[in-house]
Order: sequence, then C-alpha cells, then structure tokens
Amino acid sequence: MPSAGGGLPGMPGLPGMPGSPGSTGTGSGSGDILAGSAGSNGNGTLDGNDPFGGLGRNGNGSVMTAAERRAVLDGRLEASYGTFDGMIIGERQRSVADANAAGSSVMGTGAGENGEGEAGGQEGGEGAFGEGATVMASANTGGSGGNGTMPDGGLVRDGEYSNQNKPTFAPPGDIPSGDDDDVVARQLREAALHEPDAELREKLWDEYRQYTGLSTQ
Amino acid sequence: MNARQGNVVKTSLLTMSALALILASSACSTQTVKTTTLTPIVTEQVSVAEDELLDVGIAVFLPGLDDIPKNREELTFSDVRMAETQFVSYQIAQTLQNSGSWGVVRVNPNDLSASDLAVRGSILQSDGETMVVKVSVTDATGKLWYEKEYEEVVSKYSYDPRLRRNEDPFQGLYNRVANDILAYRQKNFDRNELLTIRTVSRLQFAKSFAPQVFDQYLTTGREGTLQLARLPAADDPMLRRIDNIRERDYLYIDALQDYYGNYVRQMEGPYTNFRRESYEEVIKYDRLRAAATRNMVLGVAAIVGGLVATQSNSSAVQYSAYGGLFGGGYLIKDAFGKRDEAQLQLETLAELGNSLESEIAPQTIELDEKVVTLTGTVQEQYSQWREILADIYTAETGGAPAVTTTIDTTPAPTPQN
Repeated sequence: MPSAGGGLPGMPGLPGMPGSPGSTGTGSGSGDILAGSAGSNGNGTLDGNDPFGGLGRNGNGSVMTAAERRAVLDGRLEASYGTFDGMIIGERQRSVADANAAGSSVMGTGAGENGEGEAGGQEGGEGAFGEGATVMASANTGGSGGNGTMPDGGLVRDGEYSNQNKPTFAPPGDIPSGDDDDVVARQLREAALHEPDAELREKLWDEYRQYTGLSTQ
Repeated sequence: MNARQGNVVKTSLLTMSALALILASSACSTQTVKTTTLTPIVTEQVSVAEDELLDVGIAVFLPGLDDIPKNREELTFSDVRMAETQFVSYQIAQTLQNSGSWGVVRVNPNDLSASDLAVRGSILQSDGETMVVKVSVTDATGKLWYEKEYEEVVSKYSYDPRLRRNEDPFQGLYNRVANDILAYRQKNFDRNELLTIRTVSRLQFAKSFAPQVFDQYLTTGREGTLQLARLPAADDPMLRRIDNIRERDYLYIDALQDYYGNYVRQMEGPYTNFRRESYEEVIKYDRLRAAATRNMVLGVAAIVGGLVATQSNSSAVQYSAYGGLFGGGYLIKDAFGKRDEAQLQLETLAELGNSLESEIAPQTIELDEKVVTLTGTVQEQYSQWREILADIYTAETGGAPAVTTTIDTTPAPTPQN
C-alpha cells in the first residue's frame, strides 16, 4: 500500500491516502482524509506509537476517558463516510458523463450494431447506441445501474443509500470560518456540525481545536 | 478357390469398399440442427420475503485461455476472450437480476467471500457459433451448490436483428444458468437456511473489518463450511458501524457496475458484429478442416488398398485397383486444396478478430485501470476504517492508549523558580 502523500491517481473527489497508522508525523498532510485516525495529529504532541491517533488527551489537556475516545473515533468514522460517499458519487457521475459521451460518439460515427436501423437508413440499428444514453440515464437516477437496493443495517433492505440532510448545529464562538481548513479539519468540522449529541459534538470541536492548533493559541 | 485367389478377392473387396466409402462420403455431410429457440428465464412463482433474497456476487469469469483445445487455438483471440469475460459476467448478472429471484446482483472483481452467493466461472469456448462456460456457485458458508458446464450452439438466425429482439444470441445460456441457480435454491433451502446464509455473509464482512470482535461468531464445521457459533446483539454498536461501512462497500460495487455497464454497452455493437461475421467463417472453416482430414485419410487408404490389389492376377481386380489409386490420389489432392481453403478462412477470421481486438483493447485497458484505481483507493479507505475500528475496540475493552501511558510516564518538567 502506498504510504502518505500522493494518494492514488485519477480519483478526484477523494484526497490522497494517508500514511500508515502510527507512522510518525506523516499522516497529517493535506492529502490525508483520515490522518487523524492514527499517527500524528498534526500538532506535534504525539508520537507514532499512539494507537488512538492523538486521542490521548482532550482539548483541556486531561486524559480522555474510553467513552470520550470512542466518541471521537466514531465522529471520525462518520466524517470519513461523507468523504467516501462524495468520492463514489463523483465517480458515478463521471461514469454517467462518460456513457453519454460514448453514446454520442457512437451515434455520430454510425458504428454500432448492424446497420439495419429503421430510421432513415442511419447505421446502427437497435442495440449498441441509443441504449447507452437511455440506460445510463436510468442509472443516474440512483441505484446500481438499475440494480437497486442494498441491505441497510443487516438483513433488511431499506432502499438505496442516500446522503441524508442532517441538521446542522452552530459552531462554538471560538471556531473560525474554516476557510483555510485542510481535509482532516474539514472532516472534523463537518462531523461536529452534524453531531446531534451535545457531548460528542463538544468532543469533536475539541478535536478540531487540537488539530488546527486553536487549543494552543 | 485357392488361398491366394481368396486373398486377392478380399483385397479387391477392400478396395471396392474404400471406393464405396469415398463415394458415400462425398454424397453426405454432417448436419447440425440448430434453432433459435430460447430457453426462457424462470421467475419466482411465489412471493419471497425480502430478507430471504440473497445478494449475488458474480466474479469476472476466467478467460480459460489455458484450456483451449488445440483445434480452437487459432480461432481464439486473447483480447477478445478477455473482453468476453467481462461481457459474459455482466450478461449473467443482468439475467439473474432481471429474474427477480435475487437481491442485488453485481459483478465483483474482488473477493466474494462476503457475498450471500458467489457465482464464478470460466469461458471454455466462444466463437460466435458455440459458447461453453463452466459455472460454480457457492454460498457465504462456503457450501458449493454445484459446478456445471453449459453449452449453447446458436443458429445464424440468432444474429438476425429482426429475430433477436434486443437479446444476446446466447441469452438462452445465461437463462439456463439463472434457472439452475434458482432451482437449486428452491429445492435445497428453507427460510431459516437462507437467513443463515445472509447472516454469515454479514458476519464475514464484519470479520474482515474487525476480526478481533467478530471472529468468535463463526466457526468452521466438519465439512469446511462456516457455521454460526452465536450471534451478536441486535444493537451491537460495532456491528452497526460495520453495517454502515457495508453500505459504502455496496456503493463502491455499484460504481464498478457503472464501469462494467459502460464497457459492455460500448463493446456490444462491434462484438456482435464480430460474432455474426465470424459465425459463417467458423462453420466454413470447421467443414473444410473436417473434409480435408477425411479426404486425406480415405485417399491414403484407397492408395494403400490399390497398391495391394495391383498384385492380383485378376485383371478385373487390377482395374479396380487402378481406380482406387486414381481415386485416392484425387482425394489427397482435394484434401490439400481444402486445407488451403481452410487456411484462407482462418486468415479471414484473423482479420475479423484483429479488427475487434484493436477496437476493444483500449477500452479493456481503460476499464481495468479504472477498476484497479478505484479499488485501490477504496481499499486504502478500508484500511483506515479497520484501524479506527481496532482503536474503538481497544477503547471499548479498556485498553489504554499507548500515548497516554507514554505521556503519563514522562517526567513532568520541574518547575523552575
């Protein structure tokens, strides 16, 4: 597996991959999506032996309880889901665009099935084209190329996964606009903004402060 | 009649038989009766509870290039065969999905151990006229449902667009595969067993992300299949997290379906053209090769028989011997001619194959690159999630974070007054 830094090519929407967990000081580059999950948290206070990736202490400097650590880790998981979903959705949109472009291209060149189309003698007939745009249009409406559903929470299929519009909770007063947040900070911010549990939300903001260096200012 | 005369008669009879065979062979030819009759897809006749529907993973079929018979090697184009692996897998997936008897059916190039049902296969022959595939079906417990070869020979009318009704010429084969899998499920599994399969696949997936937690729930039985040792709590928070991840895994596989769908739609036109055009050529080639071989054998036999018969004292036998020699020579000459014609057919087929290869090879490479890149990216993310889950597990089981220990054991700086 590639280590920190570059990420895999050709995947706009998903930043580069983070370094191996526990790899000191390499995990918090701007290309990381989960760098905070292990390894350095970017503020230089922890070394690479930290299995909780900077979760040893909360924003007040005291040692986090297990529940606090778990809550913050859950927040990180939640935040990474959003990034992942965004990457996949972007990729699927690109596939739709590719399909449409390919469909147009095939029609334009008259390639395709066997030239017995009914409309005006244009080559192509049934089959290869026409179908491209039509089918992909349906794929774009959600679902797996028409394949549909997925189990949600186990054995029950509740339909396609969709990004739900979660409520947003206002950030504390000391939190800046976040315009210059890197990817990890943005994930933490997103997770905190959408976290309904006040206690966990505060933990996430603590984590955000710690990561962005606010807590040391 | 003395012994020598008897031998001469026998020899002359042999020669005459050979000549008769030659005449007979030129008068008849092997005929294969083919129809455009399509095996219909069987759908579920009774309503199946949604939680009993098994999700199916279709592995990208193996190209079977190592198993091609010697006499088909020249008719097989490796790039075309590689493209067919995606094409056939996708067609079978679509067929299963359209049957309405399954949950979500997806082509999946990755490990299928966490699928409710895994369909794997290889293409043994595909030349436009005949398709032979080998299919094996295994459920999440590791139980092999069955392994079977399917062969379909289509008529030239299967490529007639007026008769095809937008279906692949080998749709009958795909339908048979789907029908067999459904029949097996209907015959061998009740509701509880189906739910068990689904639970095992769910736990298999969970185990792949958090083995420290979920290893305890599955055991391996005597037959080597997985069994449920016990079940996690319905509200197990770790399982809930992994279910969330599994939803993302479905999203990822869905994105792959888009890739495969685009690819199949792009290759379908040229590929069908190739199969239709190569259909006649393959049949001609096979006939010429068979005729060349047959005539060569008969020609040699006639000459050998004729040579022996020329030793006869009987002028009648000698005349027939000369006839045999003449006929044998003609047959051998004809065999060489047919062999040359077959070679020309082969060159025509090679042109068709090379043309298709040059058309689809770039698309195949692009597909492979996309799949590998997306899979790599996703796997990196999965590694991260595994790490987080391991950290959560440590937190939940009371494991102290190493850093806390490190920090706590570091002597505090002595206050400087």
